[in-house]
Amino acid sequence: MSIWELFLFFFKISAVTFGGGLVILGIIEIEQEKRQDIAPEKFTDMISLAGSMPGPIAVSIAFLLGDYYQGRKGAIVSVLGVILPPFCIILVLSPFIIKYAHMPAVQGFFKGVLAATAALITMTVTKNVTNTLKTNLWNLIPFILVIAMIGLFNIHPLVAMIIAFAINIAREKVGGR
Amino acid sequence: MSTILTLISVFTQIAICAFGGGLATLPLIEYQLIVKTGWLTESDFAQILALSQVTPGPIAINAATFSGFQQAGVYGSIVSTATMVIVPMTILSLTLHALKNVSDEKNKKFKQYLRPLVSGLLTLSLLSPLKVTLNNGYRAIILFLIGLLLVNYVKFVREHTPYMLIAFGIIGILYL
Repeated sequence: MSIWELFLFFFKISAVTFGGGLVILGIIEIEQEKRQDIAPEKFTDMISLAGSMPGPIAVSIAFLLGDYYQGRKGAIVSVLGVILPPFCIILVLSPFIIKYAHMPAVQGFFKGVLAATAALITMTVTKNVTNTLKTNLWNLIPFILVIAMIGLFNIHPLVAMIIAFAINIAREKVGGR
Repeated sequence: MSTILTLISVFTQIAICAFGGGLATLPLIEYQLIVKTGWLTESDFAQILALSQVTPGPIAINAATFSGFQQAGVYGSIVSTATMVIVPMTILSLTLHALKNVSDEKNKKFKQYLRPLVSGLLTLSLLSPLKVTLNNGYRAIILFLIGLLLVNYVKFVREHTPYMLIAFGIIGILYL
């Protein structure tokens, strides 16, 4: 893909896709299968790497694909393509939302959307947690540690994650699978 | 000026920990914007979450743009969004450089260690929307329960969640 094609590719996907990074990733996968100009293993590697790095997954995958096709320039242009649509939309909406946030209709709308969101997140989280614990029951320890440290004791998330990560490694070194 | 610097610091800290994608970032955003800076209340935060659900794009980006604007106008939103992107992309490109020496096996191991932590973050991300929905009265709770049934048992809803979000928003205008 040329630089301009990369920008349009990501801009278009990002502008019409609701539901965050994973949904965007799914659509990029489908498009990529149609194009067939990148080896499947290479693409799987990219997704895997994007998943183990911090930051929005959609942004990471845009960076990696852009880099694959056109080097650094391609990476920057692809990331811009992903970012611009949501950025512009929120920027345009923000002043109105702040101004009319107290109106009953606006509040009602957000309350309704939030109820739906809570239901969706409940489903995602339940699935994820069950899978994590099914893979290895020892995962329960770092899992609960993260929740307790951040949720109960308000420990800085970075500190909490480093501690839980270290304990997870130590636990494996000591014994458990 | 100091607000802009705080925004950079806050979103750098969020971005560094943002493993596991959008939802997993929510507790990090919550920690920085509610607990540490006190910029948002729980229900402000819930509103940003709802907003990011009905607009396209990654949740972390939506939240950065909106809260940046709320704190420091257009500049604030540019700075926050840029931070949320530049920090992880720097880490990613450094990793790409270093990766020539890292085996696939090690990457897999790393992800395996990370997995329970991400599950923990995801669980925390659930607390805020649940708490606020419970506080929004019995109708909101009923709506939430209906939503749970729909996403669990109706395939069409599960595959077309934007429709459900909008429909629930409209129901919200009428009844909540």
